[in-house]
Amino acid sequence: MKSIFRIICLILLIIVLTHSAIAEEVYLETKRGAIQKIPIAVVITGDDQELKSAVRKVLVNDLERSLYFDLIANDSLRLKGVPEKLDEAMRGQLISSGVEALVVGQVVRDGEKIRLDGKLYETGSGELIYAKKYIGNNNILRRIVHRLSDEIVFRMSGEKGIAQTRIVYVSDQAGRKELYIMDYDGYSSKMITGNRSINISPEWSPDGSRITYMSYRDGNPDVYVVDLNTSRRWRLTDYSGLDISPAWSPDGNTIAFSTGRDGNAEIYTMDREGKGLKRVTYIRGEDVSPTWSPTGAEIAFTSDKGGSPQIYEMKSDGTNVRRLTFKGDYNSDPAWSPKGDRIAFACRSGGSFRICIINPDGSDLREITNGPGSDESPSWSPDGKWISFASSRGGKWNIYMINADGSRLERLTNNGSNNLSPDWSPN
Amino acid sequence: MIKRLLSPLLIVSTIITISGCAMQSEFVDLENEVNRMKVILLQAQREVSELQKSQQPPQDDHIAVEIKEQFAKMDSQNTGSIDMLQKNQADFENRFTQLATDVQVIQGSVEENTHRMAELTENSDDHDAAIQEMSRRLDNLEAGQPPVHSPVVTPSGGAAASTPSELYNQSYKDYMSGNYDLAIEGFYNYLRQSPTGNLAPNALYWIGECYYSKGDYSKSVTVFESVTIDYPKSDKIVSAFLKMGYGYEKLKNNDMAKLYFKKVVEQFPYSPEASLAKVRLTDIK
Repeated sequence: MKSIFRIICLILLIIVLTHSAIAEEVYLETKRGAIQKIPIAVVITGDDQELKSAVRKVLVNDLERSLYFDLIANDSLRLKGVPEKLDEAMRGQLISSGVEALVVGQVVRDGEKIRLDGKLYETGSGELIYAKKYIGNNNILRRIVHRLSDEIVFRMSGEKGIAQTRIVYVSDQAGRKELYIMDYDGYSSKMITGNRSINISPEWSPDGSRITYMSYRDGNPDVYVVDLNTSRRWRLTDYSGLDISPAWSPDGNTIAFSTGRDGNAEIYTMDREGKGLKRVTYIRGEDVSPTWSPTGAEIAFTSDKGGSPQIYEMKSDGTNVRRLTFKGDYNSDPAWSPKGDRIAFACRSGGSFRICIINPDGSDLREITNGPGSDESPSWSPDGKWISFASSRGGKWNIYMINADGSRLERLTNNGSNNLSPDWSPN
Repeated sequence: MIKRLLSPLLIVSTIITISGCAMQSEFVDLENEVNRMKVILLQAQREVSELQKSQQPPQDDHIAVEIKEQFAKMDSQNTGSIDMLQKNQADFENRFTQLATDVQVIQGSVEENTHRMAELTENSDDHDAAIQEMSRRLDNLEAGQPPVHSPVVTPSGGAAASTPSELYNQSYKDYMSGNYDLAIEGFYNYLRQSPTGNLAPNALYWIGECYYSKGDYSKSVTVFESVTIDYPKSDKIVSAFLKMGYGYEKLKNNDMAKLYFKKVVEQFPYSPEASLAKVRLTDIK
């Protein structure tokens, strides 16, 4: 009798505990969703309406994309010049509309030059917390505003902003597949290869000074590198077969890549000058697209060792290979997030690809894009909040960015050509 | 219930693993056979080209015609045998490709089953821990003591984790983020909370990896050795042996390093780790 009572009690307790666990999960989810943003207002002053409007547009977009701020409309706020401290009346007006920080930018055209006097105030105390004067030619106006935005983000959040980051990508706008670099918001695109060959899978070095890529420049698919400071380009591999998908280790000393030199594609590593070649995978199947964890201890890659392309993880020395993805029959192109907590990849769903993200322990798989068309080649922003990818949703292939939670999709390229393989620069 | 579910899975998984091994050895035999055929074919081609090269310009018409006829005959004979060899080679290569695909598909099934088993065992760990806790509370109730909540083991540096799998996952995240000390502490907490848990061998293995990543090779070797002794049936054992070899090499104890590299090559000849060990055995002095 006593034992029956005990069993009933146990069952009841299991039910109660399971329910409380579910309740706790929902509570945490709600709490996690409610990230406090800083209410901020932006005022741009100056006589040149066109210039004012251009500065305001770039700055507001930058601050919104940082995801740290709620932009508060402030049409009624009138400022003359840039004060050293906010007066009581102005403070009162800002506080009553919920504004906690105010950015004031005074922009002046001075011949060929643009002068931007940027200031950041805290409305609670009225104190000036950042001030800087920027000067430059008209053609670097956007760059100047991006710099101001990153300063504001840093002062208010302690984190490095992404407004000055860039994206390297492949485009056929000049006929062949060449590499281009654009600002992270899609502007100021410029070509960095011009060899009228095929150039693909670009990736920035962790210090942002070099880009590796695969090119047929000399007739054979090899790994090349371009130094962005000197524009010097050179070949890192010279095997007569296929060397593809180079990926820099986080310390910038090693490059992992995939090569066909052993019959099927295997992952090798080499130093940044192409020396010290080491084979890492010994797997029957094609092993491609390596991506390093931010600690450099792990590499994720695509392999068809289990019959279909799936994402695997291993130690960067090739030991302890584990399969990460089990859903779907085609998962590829992994990209490890900068904080190491997520891996983005292209996942096939109903005949076309979507962007998926998963935890490195295989939990919490989410599909963050939903077509139409195919979405491929994910690459994380250095703050880990955005993912850029190539998509055929508009007919042609274009570069898009999307928040890692699947919100705020933005198209970045619009040049009537095919644009592919984006890789986001470090900040 | 879980045990009942696990047993058929275990049997299926074992059958697949065994058949996988059988396919693997057949696959290697076939690979060798294809290579042998390639060598024969190359030899035959070389002989034909040497014969053709040795053909001298004829000085006498009559002899020249005779020689030409002989060569034509030999050529047609050789062509016939080369055709046959090429056909055989193509057959072998077809079978080889088919077998390679079969092996990959089986490999995929093994991976998927292992994954499902891991998910099930992870849940069973959590349930075991929950039942133990409830049993303890019931004992307290029966003994007339007020219910006392045991202190929940939490991994430091992260959100509170109460179940063994949450503790394990948090520690794994710490490892991935490079917080090796936190990860070591978390995995040891898991082992204390769930010493016979299904993820226990993995937890111990990751402790070894954390020490290795920290550059504490001496401790990493000790922990990897514990993996091989305490959990001889774990799938982490090959990597643990190999990492012992790496650890000893870092500690400049090449004799011990070679011992473990040889162990990997001899005991797990078809594993990727064996290939990595072979490279070390070639490079090491």
